[in-house]
Amino acid sequence: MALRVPQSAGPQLFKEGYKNLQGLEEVIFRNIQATKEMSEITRTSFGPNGRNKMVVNHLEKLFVTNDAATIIRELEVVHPAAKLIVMASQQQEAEAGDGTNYVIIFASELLQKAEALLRMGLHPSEVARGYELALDAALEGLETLATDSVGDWTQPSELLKAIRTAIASKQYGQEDLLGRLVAEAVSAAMPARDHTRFNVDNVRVVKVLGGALAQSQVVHGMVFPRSPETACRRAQFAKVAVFACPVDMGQTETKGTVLLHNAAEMLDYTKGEEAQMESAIRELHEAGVKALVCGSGIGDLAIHYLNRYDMVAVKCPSKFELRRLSRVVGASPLARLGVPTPEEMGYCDELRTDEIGGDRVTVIRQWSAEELAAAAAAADSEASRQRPAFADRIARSPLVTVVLRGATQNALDDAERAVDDGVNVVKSLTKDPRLVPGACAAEMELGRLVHEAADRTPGLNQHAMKAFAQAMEVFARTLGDNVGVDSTALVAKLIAAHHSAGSTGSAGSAAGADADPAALTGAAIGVDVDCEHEPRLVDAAKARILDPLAVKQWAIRYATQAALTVLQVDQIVMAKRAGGPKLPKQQGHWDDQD
Amino acid sequence: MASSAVKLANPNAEVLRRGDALAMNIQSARGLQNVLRSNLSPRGTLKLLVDGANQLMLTKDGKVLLSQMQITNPVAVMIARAATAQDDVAGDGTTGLVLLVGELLKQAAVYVEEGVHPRVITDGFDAAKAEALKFLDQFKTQWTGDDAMDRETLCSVARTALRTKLQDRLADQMTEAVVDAVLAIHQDRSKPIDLFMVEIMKMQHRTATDSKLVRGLVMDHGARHPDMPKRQRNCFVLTLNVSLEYEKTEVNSGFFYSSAEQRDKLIESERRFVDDRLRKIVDLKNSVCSGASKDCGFVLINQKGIDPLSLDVLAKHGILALRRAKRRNMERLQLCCGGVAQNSVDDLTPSVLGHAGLVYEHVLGEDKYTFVEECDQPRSVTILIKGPNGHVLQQIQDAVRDGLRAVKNAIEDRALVPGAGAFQVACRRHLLRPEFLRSVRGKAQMGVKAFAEALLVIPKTIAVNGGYDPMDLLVALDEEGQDGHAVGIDLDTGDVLDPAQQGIWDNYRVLRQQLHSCSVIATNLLHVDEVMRAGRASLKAPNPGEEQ
Repeated sequence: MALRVPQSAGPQLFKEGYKNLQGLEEVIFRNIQATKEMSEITRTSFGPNGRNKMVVNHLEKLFVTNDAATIIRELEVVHPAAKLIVMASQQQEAEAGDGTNYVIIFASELLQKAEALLRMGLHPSEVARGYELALDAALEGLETLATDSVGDWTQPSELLKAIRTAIASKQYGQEDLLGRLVAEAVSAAMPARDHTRFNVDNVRVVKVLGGALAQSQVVHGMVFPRSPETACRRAQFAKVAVFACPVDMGQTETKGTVLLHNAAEMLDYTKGEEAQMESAIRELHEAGVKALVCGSGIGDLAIHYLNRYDMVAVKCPSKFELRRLSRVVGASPLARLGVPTPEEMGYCDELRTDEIGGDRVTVIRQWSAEELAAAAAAADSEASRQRPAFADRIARSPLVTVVLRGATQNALDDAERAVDDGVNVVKSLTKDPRLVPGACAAEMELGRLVHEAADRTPGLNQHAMKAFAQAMEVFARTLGDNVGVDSTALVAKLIAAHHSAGSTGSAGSAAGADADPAALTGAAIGVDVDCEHEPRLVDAAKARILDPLAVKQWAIRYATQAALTVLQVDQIVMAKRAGGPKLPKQQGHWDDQD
Repeated sequence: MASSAVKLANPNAEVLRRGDALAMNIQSARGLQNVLRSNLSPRGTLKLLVDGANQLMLTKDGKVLLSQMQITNPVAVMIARAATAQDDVAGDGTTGLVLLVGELLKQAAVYVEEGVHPRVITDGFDAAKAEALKFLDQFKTQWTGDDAMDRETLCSVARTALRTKLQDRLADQMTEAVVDAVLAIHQDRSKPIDLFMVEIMKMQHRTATDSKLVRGLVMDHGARHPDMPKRQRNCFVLTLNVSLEYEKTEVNSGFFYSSAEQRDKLIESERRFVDDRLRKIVDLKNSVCSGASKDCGFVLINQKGIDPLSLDVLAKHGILALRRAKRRNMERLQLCCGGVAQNSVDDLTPSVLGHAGLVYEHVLGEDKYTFVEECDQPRSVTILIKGPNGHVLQQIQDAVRDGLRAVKNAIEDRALVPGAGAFQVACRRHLLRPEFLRSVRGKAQMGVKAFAEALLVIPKTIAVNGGYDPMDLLVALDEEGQDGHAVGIDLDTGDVLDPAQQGIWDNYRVLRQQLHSCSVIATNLLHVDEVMRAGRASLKAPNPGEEQ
């Protein structure tokens, strides 16, 4: 960097190409404009009637989705203020797994409401302070809105309560089908004793192109999109050995050279190798191992002997997949070739190769109790005879795979995202099982509560608090817009419904609602997304439209914080975009290589 | 225009002379002042920096801003360097320094325009500086003798420093963490404070208000084997710097074998070295984790690598093993848990083991963290910073660093100065006393006056950033402070307050360094009468294409 003597009167402080934006007009209003434009993009995708977006990213990959997390990730937002909101949304994805669009819409609405206040002459720090107070009031109010909670973690019907709503916002119309699959998968993957230790990773999704979504199914085990290496492709009631090392001749770390003195030695050498390999495989066979899973390569010689002894060998190149598979079969991966001890040995009820569509997949699964009973009755208790004693230790697979079918890759990707959202909702529920009414009911009620709190607040702060309360209406408005009804009339109806009840109790007038649907009032009244021309309301608590409380809590918190950050910036200093190739993506964690 | 001699020798040289040079200097200094002005005080606003790779950074820390912005103006660079020096010495007060330099030049410019020679003014600056430093020594509150500063006072200093960098709520929370961290590492009063013994660990998780002090160590990696215990109580901690993986020989070597059996033997012998080391560790574990302490955990933290085969062996024996620990953590671990780090496994005895009440792993997505907690009397602690995204983490980290420095400075100085602009107001009054002015001879008095007025930039800026009228407040401050006690600005009401009572304290050395460097830089800049750039690099024409 060479220093320059400035020739003009105005001192140029920064390196050439620097952009320096300052002041209310240049920074805050423009930032608000930018965030508004971004939320305009995502808000049409909000809710069950949200539209899909077609996004082509820099690698020319096509995405068709209404998942806000995916849209903003692929859009590569560069505007600094919009990026702050994108970051908040991504953090929401990491923390709660759902509600990304919620964050963007709410943060940008807060900023737009702030803009009006700023134009009226309030100082940004006063607006920020009011929003902070309103956030406290909103979070406090949210606690009182819980109407339901998940009690039994192994009952699919209980889990379905929350999963259904989450999936409906991504795959409307398919929520019962997908919801059932997800609920079944999650209840099977739920740890028996401690539901807080539920791991999202235990519900896998495998996408197989072809067929229809209705043909999707849940497999209690793992599904690999590849076929076994050996000629034998199936095994039942099999002991499984898992190897993290190659199943091949041993190798020295130091370079080795075979020293041969004459032709006889050469012949003997290959024979010796063969004998050694055979003995290794034979030992496995004699220990009762029927199936082998291997983390790295399987030598040709090994495959030959495996075929001879009629064993199945599956290659599993990913270290993480291997680890998951070991959990399914209850084995621990061996670092050297040899016979596993009984503790290290795994077991699976069934290993088979299926052809779904045109693809070969290998399924490794444990049977359910009913299947076992049926098999025991049909095959003259062959199952119980062949099942080794230790199989009961791993009677239930901790891992469940959802096999999704669909006509196009994009439909599959979208279905996968819906499943992921459903599973993540359950995960956040395991930390906080409370549910609040969905369909914008909770937001409208929060708006009312914050408004009340604002009336009790002295000073200038109440303006910002009221703006916060009004911003809560954006969700109902957006839902209305996306359904295609007059959203202003809808919001007015909702406000009337929430205010006439006047109580914070849940579903205040449930009895009255039965008699006359037009007279819906109470804290749980939300938007009916099935209405066609006329805006219509629905009692969300009764219609089983429930959202997890924790997701909303984090979303409101992150959105408000992002908006506050944007408001507190008074100057932006932008460097010239660095030329040259893009920085390579970080290659994972520094201690990950093995 | 009068052409400089340099222009004759090198027609491409860039030159500014006499009045132009001075005007440029003053303008640049004030330009930089303008950039940083809005950041001073707890009510200052944030700046959003976007770097070349489009990464965001939010800050109001003067030092961070100056180092992140690529400044090309020579005067601004000089000031920025002085600010860096300020940060090295005192750890805070960079924004204030830049403001003071700009204001000194602005005040001086008034007199220069009226025909006073800059040299005379700088003489006045020197006299004023000497007097101001003397006054600072009178003004500070000294803690003498054995009565060390209590925790509450230290909290006040840390809070004052942190509130200028973070939101109030977050600052108050970090205050306790920062003070407790310094007190934990400063148990032996006779030794100097080594802030390096406070580990600062960042986790992108939840919200900023979840940040806290961990009385132990947090490492940003976990056990590398799925079967290792994830959570252990009452642990023995073995810190090791021994490679537990196969090491290739330095010389070129090879094996010769002529049958598969021979090869197998060689494979086995290769592993034997590592296996022997492992056996010694496992033996130690079995000997200490027996009898009464049967349920105790055993944690191995190794600075070198551990290969998968060794991890397997350790996992089988229920040992939680971490590999490739950072060097700095090896030092801290010994302070946390006790024990002695070992460079070989030859003489392992139970006495080299440290102890920790709880060791557990925390997984965040792909990242793993290992917490070593519940140590008795840890002399090294961790400040765990949490936040939803990278720029928040960075902001808190910079603030925590400043907070730690502020506490350390306070303990070392054994003195504090009332903050909230109180010192600057009082010092101005002191300098403008007729007794002092008379002791300065001749026109240098102008310099003293300029210096005294320039000090007011700090309270003025604090008032403006708080949304109050600076002149009203200055008058109020002056009235209240007539009888010589400290008065500062109350940002909540726009009135005056007693900083000492409200617990608003500045570090002594921050102010001392500020007074020192601001007058030195201002003096240097006023003495410049020609700025030129005529090095070898500029011998080339600026735009070669245009000449033809």
